[in-house]
Amino acid sequence: MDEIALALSAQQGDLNAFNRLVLEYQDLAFNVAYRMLGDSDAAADASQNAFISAYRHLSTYRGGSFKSWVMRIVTNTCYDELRRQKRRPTTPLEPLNDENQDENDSPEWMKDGQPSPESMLESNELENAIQSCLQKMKEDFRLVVILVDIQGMDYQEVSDDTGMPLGTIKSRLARARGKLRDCLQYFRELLPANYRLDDEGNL
Amino acid sequence: MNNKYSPQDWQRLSEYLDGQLSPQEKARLETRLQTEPELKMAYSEMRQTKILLKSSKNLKSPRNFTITEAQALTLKPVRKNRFLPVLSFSSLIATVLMIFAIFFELTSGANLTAQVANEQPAASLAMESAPMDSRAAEGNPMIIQWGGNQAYGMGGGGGDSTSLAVGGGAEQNDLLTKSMNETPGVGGADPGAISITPTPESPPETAILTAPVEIPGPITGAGPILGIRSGEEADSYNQAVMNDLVTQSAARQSTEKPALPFLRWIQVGLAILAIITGGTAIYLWRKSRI
Repeated sequence: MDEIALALSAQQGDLNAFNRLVLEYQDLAFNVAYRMLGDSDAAADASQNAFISAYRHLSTYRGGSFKSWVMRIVTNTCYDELRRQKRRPTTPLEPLNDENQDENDSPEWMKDGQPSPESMLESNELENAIQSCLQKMKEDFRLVVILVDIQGMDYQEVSDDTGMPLGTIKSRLARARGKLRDCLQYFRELLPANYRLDDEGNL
Repeated sequence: MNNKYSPQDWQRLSEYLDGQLSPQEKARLETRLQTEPELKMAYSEMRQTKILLKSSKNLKSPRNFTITEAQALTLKPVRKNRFLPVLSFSSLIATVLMIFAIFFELTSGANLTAQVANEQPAASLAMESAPMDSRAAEGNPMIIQWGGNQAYGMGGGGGDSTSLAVGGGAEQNDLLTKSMNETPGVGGADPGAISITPTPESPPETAILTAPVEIPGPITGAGPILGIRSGEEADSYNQAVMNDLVTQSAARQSTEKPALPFLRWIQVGLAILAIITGGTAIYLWRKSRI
């Protein structure tokens, strides 16, 4: 798929070309929004708003990577949503968990037993733990670690997507990893043996 | 994070994990990893954290975010505002010009001050420098001899154009000089004449001071004490001094007026222009921001 050709066609008013680009990047956009916002409904709304905004601002696209351009819109939309949430905090009408209303005080993933490490990697508990740890971090640190460690982008891609300098990305990523290392300590101990150090500190 | 290691160490570990270190830095860090078990442990934990994050699920979007024909008709495309670069540039130029205008005023103001200082009356400068000269001419201290002829007081020093002489000294100002000629000084020794005799080593120019000084003319004045002006004389004298001071003050104020008043208006105009264009540019930029 030649994304630049599609983007230029979309600029000329070709809606199908634009929708093809949307289909290509909507999962990425939703995942980043979900990790940033911590809520799938809010993430879906943010993704939809980001693509609508991208369509309205197609005239400002000046070539280059459409993915970077649209991901910058997605991250900006997430920042706007987080700011809006801070200005007008909302309280959910229903508890997060029917069985346990004190979700925030004693997360479900902390109270579970110790299943096998192999199954832990696939479990929802790990997902919840990662999301919980991500939500405890500052948004700028969260975004960098989402894009690099979860989405697998390299530093330059993150810089293109967010507009951050490379040095800032490196320092934020190191700090974010340090915080996550402490936060995910329990799960690190459950990793398969080949991911852990032996008694002498060898990998 | 382990407090034993600095944030730079953590950043190097993080970059090493992503293969972003230069060959030299990589070799240096690998040497440290071999010799420092705690650093190796920290690296291992960071690597495990990355593996955990990488293992998280990649979610599928719950719905398609494509735009329908009907939606596209309602969505107004946002055009880049043509005025935005013009306004931004205008604001920048106005700010730069304003800074130049302020700088020009400061430099021209400094020149004006220097010019005014140079234009001070030469007589005033002479008055200021005279005591120094006379002191310089005095090789030895003068000997003052009391007694002899009747003499009037010699108290009071000379004034300059901005200060009044008190006590019978001569002043630079003509009006005051005149009045002082008519009125003897106060504070002189009585009776006897004052004679100032230089020491034998003194230069010949100071010899004139050895002669008794006599102030010609009779003492006039109707006051109860000799040499003190009457009330009317004092009033007229004070009035003359006040008039003189007012004249001098007005002259000084006229010289202190800003030399370039239009420059101030230019600065204000440029500041207003910079604020208006800059504010509008920021507003338009925020409005058109994606």
